[in-house]
Amino acid sequence: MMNDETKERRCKFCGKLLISEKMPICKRCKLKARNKVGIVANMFTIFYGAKVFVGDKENGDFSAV
Amino acid sequence: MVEKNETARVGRCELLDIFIEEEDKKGTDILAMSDFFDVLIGKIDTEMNSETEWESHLNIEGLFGQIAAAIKSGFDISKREMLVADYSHFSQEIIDGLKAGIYHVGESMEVAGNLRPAILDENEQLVKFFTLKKAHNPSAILSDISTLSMQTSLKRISAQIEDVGRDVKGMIDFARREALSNKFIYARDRIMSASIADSEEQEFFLREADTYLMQGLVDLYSDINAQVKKLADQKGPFASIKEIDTLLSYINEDMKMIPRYVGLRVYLFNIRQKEDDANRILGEYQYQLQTLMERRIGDRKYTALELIHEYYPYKKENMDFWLERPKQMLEAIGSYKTMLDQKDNDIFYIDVEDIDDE
Ligand SMILES: [Zn+2]
Repeated sequence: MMNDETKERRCKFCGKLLISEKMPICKRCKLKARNKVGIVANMFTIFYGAKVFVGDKENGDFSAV
Repeated sequence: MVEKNETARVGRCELLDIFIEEEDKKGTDILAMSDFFDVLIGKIDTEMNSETEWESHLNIEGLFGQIAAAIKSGFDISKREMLVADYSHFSQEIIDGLKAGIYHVGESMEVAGNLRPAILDENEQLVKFFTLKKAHNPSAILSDISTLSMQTSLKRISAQIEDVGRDVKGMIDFARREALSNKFIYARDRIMSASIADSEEQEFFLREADTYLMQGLVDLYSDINAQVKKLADQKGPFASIKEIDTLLSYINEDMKMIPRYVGLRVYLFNIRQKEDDANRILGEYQYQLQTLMERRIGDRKYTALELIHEYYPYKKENMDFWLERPKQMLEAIGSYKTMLDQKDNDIFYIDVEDIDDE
């Protein structure tokens, strides 16, 4: 049981050795995920912003983007 | 007496002729130049061979373990004698093979029919022949052979950092690179002047060259610490991978430049027969690496190297590089001192000649 706790822990995404994270994810992968969420959130805003702006006329055009 | 000095000076000029390629002579970006290690190693090798006679030591029985240890790490002093390997001519494949136990040291039949020391594979097939040579006058070459071994270690460190550096795609800031190359360029100018000067002037130019190299190193050491601090400050909602990659690529550049400055300083001190100074330069490098490895930064949760590791985009081949390799680098640097202490011991050199390949 002691062994399991002292066993080396690796990042679930990139495989690097973890130092002291509580979650099984390294700083880079964590930040990357957060940056991605940020981009998605931005796209979401742009998408809906634009949709409201263009109106119903060109409905469906955005799926191609 | 005068004659002797004159010969020494001519020898020195030869030793100072180290800028060979056009870029090395005229370029302004140190990372675009050759890494010089091969040139320095070649020069030391020539000088070393001229300072002592070597006796080919054919009976290697009883030395297998020590020879393997020396090839794996560059040198071995576990017993009374010191064994130094021609580290730069053993491929990484051979070193890794010995470490993994796939290869071993033994003897193999030459075309002429006699047995020669060799690296063999699991099926006793020849991988590479080598020669074990014993120095007639070990004390005369102790300093050269230690420097040789140190330069090969620095070359390896430099190559490894170069390799892991390819994993990061940060922006290249040429102005920054040139600023950090400047002092090297000034030093180069003085070394080139020294290579055609008389002995008194030569010493003056070399002292100036060292001052520039020292300033360049101080700049690099403080730059790396500044970049690490910025890395530690990257947190909260505005942290970005792009910014972090740029910082990591700057750190990589610094790490790549440092061994070049250190290698050249050590080399010049060795030419001037100032081993204590060479030792001190390596001690400083050791201290800097040690600090990056041990001192906790920012919120005191991580050391600099741990933080670099946490943010580093490794490829599979380089996984955990910044956590593991600096320890080996420190060991390699620390060994220089140990080698210089081996004053009364026999010196064996494990020599590889490329023509020996079959
Ligand atoms: Zn990760």
